[in-house]
Amino acid sequence: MHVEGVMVVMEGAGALAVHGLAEDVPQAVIDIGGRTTELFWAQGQRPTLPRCTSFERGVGDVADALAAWFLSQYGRELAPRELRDLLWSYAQRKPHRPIFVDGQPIQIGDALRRCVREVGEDIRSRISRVWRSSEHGKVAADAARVLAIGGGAYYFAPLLREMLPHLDVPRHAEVANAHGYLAIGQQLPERVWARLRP
Amino acid sequence: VNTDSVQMYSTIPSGIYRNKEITAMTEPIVFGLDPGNSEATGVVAPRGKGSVLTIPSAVGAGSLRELTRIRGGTGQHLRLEPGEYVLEVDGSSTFVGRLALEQSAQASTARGDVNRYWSGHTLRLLMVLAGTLIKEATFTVRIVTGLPVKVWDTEATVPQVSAPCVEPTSSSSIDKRG
Repeated sequence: MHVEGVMVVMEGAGALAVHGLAEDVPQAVIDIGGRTTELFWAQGQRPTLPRCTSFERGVGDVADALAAWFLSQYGRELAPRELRDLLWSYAQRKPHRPIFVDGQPIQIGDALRRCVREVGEDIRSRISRVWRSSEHGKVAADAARVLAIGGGAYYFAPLLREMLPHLDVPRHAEVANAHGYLAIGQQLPERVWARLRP
Repeated sequence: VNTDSVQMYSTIPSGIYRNKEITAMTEPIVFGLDPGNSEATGVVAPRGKGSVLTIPSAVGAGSLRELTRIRGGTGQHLRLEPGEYVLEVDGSSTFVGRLALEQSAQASTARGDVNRYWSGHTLRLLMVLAGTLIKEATFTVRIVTGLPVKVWDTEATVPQVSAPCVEPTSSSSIDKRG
């Protein structure tokens, strides 16, 4: 493999490149990953730095909370494979495979929903602090478009919509940034790539 | 490069063999890389056809030879399972992705450590993603990637991050099923 050039942008800029508006208007991206949430705000495609930030909350916190609850409730640890299956099932809105304790199948869908809500409310509160539009409670009201991307969008978008009714979740939200990076790279002219050689 | 198991993997040599390869390289391929804390995603679209691959961002020490020996001893398939990746760089072997999580004693996603972008961690993820998605034996890539808002800095961070991240290694190969 030979690397001919590298371009580095802010996380969130990728999704905006493919799912954002072409006009020179305020728009925002909430990128919720496994462990961090990135908040990206732009005028058109230009980042507005004071409104860009990140904090350590993500889907992994749901897994941690659920694992701690399960251990205290049933006296055994959830295996990583079980946790992964539980989270996948939730994201796909399907019942999870049975979890066994002492040979008995256990359903823990309610506990999982509670953990998602707890982490989601914390994420919502942190977003509200950064993007509050007024003391009246509106958040990111001045944005023409707000996108929720990353794997966390499948878990937290319904909760965030209570605060951001105009929130959009693009198809394949979990890979929206990567697709955007590709789109940016494909549109860069040769003269720019020539300057990006390592 | 271990070649005692036929069709077990494909090889992407570079480094000391690079000069010869570069002359044979075709058009550069644009590669979108999103190396997250938990999962890393690569996207390519050579000739207009898009392919995407997401793997856990875990990297850990592990030997393909040892894995093959143990699996053989338990009567399992000697081939790597789909989605299992072993990367060999400069004679050192690394498990990447799910295989690292399941079979490496010291697997790490380098969560919360911004050094992962230039320590070699992200480079290993890139090599596996690109080596799996791009079918050519040798290829040239142009990479677009993103950094977290708190890490990204036009003046200071970007030159430091991007340059070491893409330094070619002296020799590498990837063993994969995906």
